Amino acid sequence: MIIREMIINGFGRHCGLKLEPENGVNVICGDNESGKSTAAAFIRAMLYGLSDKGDQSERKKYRPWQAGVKYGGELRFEHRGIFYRVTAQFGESRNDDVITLYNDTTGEILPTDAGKTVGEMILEIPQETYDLSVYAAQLSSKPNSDSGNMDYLFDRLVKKSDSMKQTSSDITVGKRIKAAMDSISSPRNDEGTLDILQAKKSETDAAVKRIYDFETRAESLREEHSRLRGELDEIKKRHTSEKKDITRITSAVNTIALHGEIKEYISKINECDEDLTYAARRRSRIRKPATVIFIILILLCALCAIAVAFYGKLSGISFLQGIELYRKAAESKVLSYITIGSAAAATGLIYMFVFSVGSSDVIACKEDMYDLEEELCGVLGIKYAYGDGNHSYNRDNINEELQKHSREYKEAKAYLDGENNKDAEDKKYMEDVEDYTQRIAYALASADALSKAADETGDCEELAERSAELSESINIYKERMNALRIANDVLGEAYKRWQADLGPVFGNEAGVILGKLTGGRYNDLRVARNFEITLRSRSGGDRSGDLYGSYVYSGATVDQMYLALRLALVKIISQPGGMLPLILDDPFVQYDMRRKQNAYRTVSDFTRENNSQIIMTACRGDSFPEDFNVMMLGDA
Amino acid sequence: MRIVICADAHLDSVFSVFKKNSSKLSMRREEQKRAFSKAISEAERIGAHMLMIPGDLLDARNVSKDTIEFLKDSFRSVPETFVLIAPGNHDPVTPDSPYVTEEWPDNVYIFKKGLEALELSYEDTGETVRIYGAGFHGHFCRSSLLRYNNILPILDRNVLNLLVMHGNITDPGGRSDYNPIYKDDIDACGFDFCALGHSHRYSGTVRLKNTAYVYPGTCEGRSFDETDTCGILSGTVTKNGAELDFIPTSVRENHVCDIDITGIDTYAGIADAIRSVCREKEWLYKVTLKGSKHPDLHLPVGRLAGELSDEYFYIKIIPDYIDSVNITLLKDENSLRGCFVRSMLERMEAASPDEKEMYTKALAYGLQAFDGEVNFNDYT
Repeated sequence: MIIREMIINGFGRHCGLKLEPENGVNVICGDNESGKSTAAAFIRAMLYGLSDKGDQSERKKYRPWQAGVKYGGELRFEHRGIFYRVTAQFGESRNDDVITLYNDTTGEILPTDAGKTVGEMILEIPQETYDLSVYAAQLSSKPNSDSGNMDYLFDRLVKKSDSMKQTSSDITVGKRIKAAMDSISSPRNDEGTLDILQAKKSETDAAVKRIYDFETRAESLREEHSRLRGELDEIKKRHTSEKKDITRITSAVNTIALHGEIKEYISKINECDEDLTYAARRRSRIRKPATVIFIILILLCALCAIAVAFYGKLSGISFLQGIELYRKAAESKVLSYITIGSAAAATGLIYMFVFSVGSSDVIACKEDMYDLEEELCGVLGIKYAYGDGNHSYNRDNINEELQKHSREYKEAKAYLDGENNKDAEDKKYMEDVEDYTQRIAYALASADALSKAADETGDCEELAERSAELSESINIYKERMNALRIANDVLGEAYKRWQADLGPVFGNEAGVILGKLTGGRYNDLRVARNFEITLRSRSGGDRSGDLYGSYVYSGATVDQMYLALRLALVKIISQPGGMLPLILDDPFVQYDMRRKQNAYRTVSDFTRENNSQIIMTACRGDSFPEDFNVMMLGDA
Repeated sequence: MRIVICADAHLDSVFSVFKKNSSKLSMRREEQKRAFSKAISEAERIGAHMLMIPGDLLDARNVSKDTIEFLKDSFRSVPETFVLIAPGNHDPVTPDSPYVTEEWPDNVYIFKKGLEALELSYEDTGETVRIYGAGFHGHFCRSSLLRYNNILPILDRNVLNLLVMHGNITDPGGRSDYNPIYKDDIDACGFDFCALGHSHRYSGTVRLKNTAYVYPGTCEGRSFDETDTCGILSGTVTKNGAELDFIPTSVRENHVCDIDITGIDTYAGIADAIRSVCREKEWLYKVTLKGSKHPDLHLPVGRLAGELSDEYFYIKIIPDYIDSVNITLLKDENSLRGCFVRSMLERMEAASPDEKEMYTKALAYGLQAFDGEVNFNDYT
């Protein structure tokens, strides 16, 4: 960085001051209280702003003395081939400050990152590093700590290099990488981007799976619905083809009913038959003996009549002449004939009576039977010829008809049994229809409910697309995570190397510069691994050739050592093509003339060798080398 | 037979990119209807005998009443055209589907059951046409709707046999969750022409041995995977084949663009590069910035997208560039950063080609960490 122009509108005691530093060493020269330090502080304020801390804050300290003057100014500088211009108008606080960075070649306003100062953006070092390397305030080469622990300061100097801000052994770069890793995936709280993406993907995949499950089940149910409907249709078709024949059923029922009636009639007829048989047998039991008796009696009467007729004529019945009655009968033949005839008639009458008694039962039975048969024929639908003479005919007809009826009955019974089974089948059919209807309705309703549930979960294709996009994003973040891990590893490795190298690098570089500053007296500056500084004295005295800690040396020597360290540090931490300047506020105030001359030569050589710039302040009256650009504050 | 085929209209789509912008959401939905209306206009213009809609006419079952009335009015406006709708996986025939609950004009037939055939006779052409179709009953359909009890229909070759169906053309033995229409099957059936829906990309007429099919694609692109020009088909179909013209219907197109930002060193330059590629302000763009970002270029992608959003109907910018770094200078730097670069370069040298990209990213992230917070340049 080479500062080209400083225009102070209002800053502390300065108002309308313009300074034009050049490459090499520049000296802002003036009397005491002429504002030399203020001019140096202006550069810092333009690059890093003003601090607001405390009662003696910089903002208050450098408020323009003159009223009505704008607090701020302009700074033009060149860094890494680009010309920049910074304009600043400071307000009551940082929020009120208006600081604008321009590309001084094109006039384009350069956008600034939020929260970053110009110094951080362009010089790429934080303010603390600037304060510890680039800018040395007056009499601040020594540390401010009471103990004057230069090791601590050196440690801070070294560890503050390379944009590191830390209060611990962790380096800021490492913290930033860790922060980036945590932003991707934090083991502590699962709030990293990757964690969130993975959670979203899990959620999305779960939703897709739910939808798939819902729809798969819905599809199965719809298939089952179709299958059940098909089966129900088949059942209905089968059932429809087996229609009931009502006429036939009626006929069969009638036949069954008729059979009962017929059976009753047959039963009665059979009873009649039995009664008739019994009556006939009884008649027969009466008639036989009666007939025998009748015949005997009639024969007897006949014999009597013969005997009377043939009284005394037949020798065979001569024995009867001894019977008084016979003689009497023979005497009155007519009377005997009448008596015998009457007896025979009476016998005949008696026989006829007895005969008829037996027959009336039989006749009654027959009549009953004939009546029943007639009724039966009426039921059977056949003709009946009443009378004994037609009995066989009637019976034959009846039997024939009964046989026919019997066949019909059997058929009707079988038919109705079948129909009864069908009733059971019908019942089962109705039960089946009800069952199928319920299952069909259930299947369809369930399928629709599942489809609705799927709808409510989301659009499957859209969710699947989102899942794929999330997978892509997750892969991207996983790659980033891997890359960050590698960066972290390599940083750790580099840091170890840097720490190992830093001491000797610093020591060597600072040693060379210190040698120039001290005219060769001290050039062996050691920076140990813990950045402890030791110097080896080269000439004369008790300390010659030995290494001693810096604390044993004089203040001026310590100043020289710190200057050497600053020059070495600036050289080491500057980026290629962009050497950082040094802003030194009265750095040689403790030097005697010889040391001053050495110091001037050293810094001049440094700027020439490194194409850099040093701006220092000094009191009026000092003499400077010709190549120094001296800017008198009175003259400006 | 004069026909118009319009598929996958997805009326009342969700348009997730406009979830938080109700006015643009409404606009896109109206534009979908306008695109669909072009199918109606075309049917009227050519005096189409049939308007075939092979599925996904609606994006979901719960479409707005306005959309249903719009459709009914549209179909009524072409009373001489027979509208055939085969419901798809987005608008299946369910008890609460508008296909079931609404009264549709007389010239509309919706295939609500399994495979059905509809026979139409036309005096003007003297033709008899048999149109076969089937509808989805759920969002998935893993068995082919073309088969009933695993049996293919037997066609009467004396009539013109057409198929309108929503599903995935599938090779034999393949599987699909969305009605696998096997090539073997339609070829075996020998349909004179098959109007299919589900694929949102126009397939052109694909001829098989005994049949031909086409996916007209969607009539209005809804997302960045539907970037080809969208449209409908219009023409004639006979026993000798189909002659159909593709008619673009897109009201607003989606475009995906890659822009190489290598060499562009200003923010304004990047914006201009985008403008030079994305010329139509009313279209929707997804722009990926590729190449190497100039090291001095500060590129807040979110801010860029925000500014361009005012100029375009919709623009999304995805950073996919790498930050270019002058490794040659850095590796010689005498600093922890230089040490880091050197260590990383050593590892890269020993790494396999697959690992090199990872190390390149690791280097970029590490260098970012030296400058400040590690920024992934994600657009949110």
